[in-house]
Amino acid sequence: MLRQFRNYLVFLMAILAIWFLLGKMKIIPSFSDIFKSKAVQIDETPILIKNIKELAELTTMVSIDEVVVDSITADPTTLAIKNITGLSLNPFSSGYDQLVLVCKGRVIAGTDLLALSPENIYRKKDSVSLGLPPARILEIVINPSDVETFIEKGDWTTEAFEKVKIRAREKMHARALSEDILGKANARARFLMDNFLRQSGFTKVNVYTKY
Amino acid sequence: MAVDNVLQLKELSELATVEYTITKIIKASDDQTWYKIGDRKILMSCQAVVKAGIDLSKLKAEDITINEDEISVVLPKATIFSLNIRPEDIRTEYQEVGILRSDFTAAERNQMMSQGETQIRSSIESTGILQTAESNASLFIGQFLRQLGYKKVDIRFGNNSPKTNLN
Repeated sequence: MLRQFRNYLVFLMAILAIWFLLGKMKIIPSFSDIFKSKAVQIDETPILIKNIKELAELTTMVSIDEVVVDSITADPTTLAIKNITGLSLNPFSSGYDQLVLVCKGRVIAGTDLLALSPENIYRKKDSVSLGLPPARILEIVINPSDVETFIEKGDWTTEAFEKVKIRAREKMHARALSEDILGKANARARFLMDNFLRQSGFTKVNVYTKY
Repeated sequence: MAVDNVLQLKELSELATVEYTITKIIKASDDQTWYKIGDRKILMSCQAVVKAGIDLSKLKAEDITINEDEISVVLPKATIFSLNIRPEDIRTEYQEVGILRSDFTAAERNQMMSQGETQIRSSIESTGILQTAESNASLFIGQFLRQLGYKKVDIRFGNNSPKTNLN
């Protein structure tokens, strides 16, 4: 009886060992893979061009940043129960919805050269003077792949989720301005245009920012 | 609650000459997990702004040739600078969730948008954005050089691209 039991045990351990080894070698799915929820895959869909716009933006500075933003809202069900019964606890809810995002992004600054008018360019023989428009924030990029959801409690609609991302964008904007990104972008634009004009054959070059 | 000391400022020398606004529908069905009963479907829409132009840091002194009032410039080939899917331009248009399934979470929707972003990145060049960027760069730089007094302006891209003459 004991011997039979030992044989069963050895047989079972051998089966488990073989399963484990084959799973490690990815020949058969491992135990955890069988009950693993598959990530949702989107279908291949075409892109559609909505608009084409001509630009002449001299991009001179970028601030690469990472911020954490959070948002907490009271759960409406909890509030309703509290209003009706006076009880502060809804057993089906933690009482609040919470979202914490870690967002990476880029604040891009530069000069819009389309705003450069002919009267801002003065040329005489080998001398040139150029008045550049002041630098501005051209765009702030936080794409879906730049966002990590650290905590998500409760229901968050797409609009509510995106509003939290907009707060991250505002935070990055403020941080970039506090680092004087526009002053540095102006200086960089003057340097680049000075170089370009010298390479274009001018020996006396004056590039300034026209505020 | 901000993570401090991660901000990094970098210098660039890019001339963006075109901006394409692109729309895309994100479509998904979640019925691939064998032990989950019922399925979930979602339709989202988004808009992406893509900018392209020329990287002036690749322009070298030998790329510019001057002969009295004639100038010849060999510009670097156009590249894509940025793709921006603004939060305001992301919407859930429709979703259907089986009674035994839970709604899509915000993290799941963002993960699907992230896949959509990858699809946009891989198909953006087929829209001809780089050709438009080069054409606009030729026009802008040609006009700028003529304002500087050059009568004959010759702009090319790379070594093998066709000549664009802006006389």
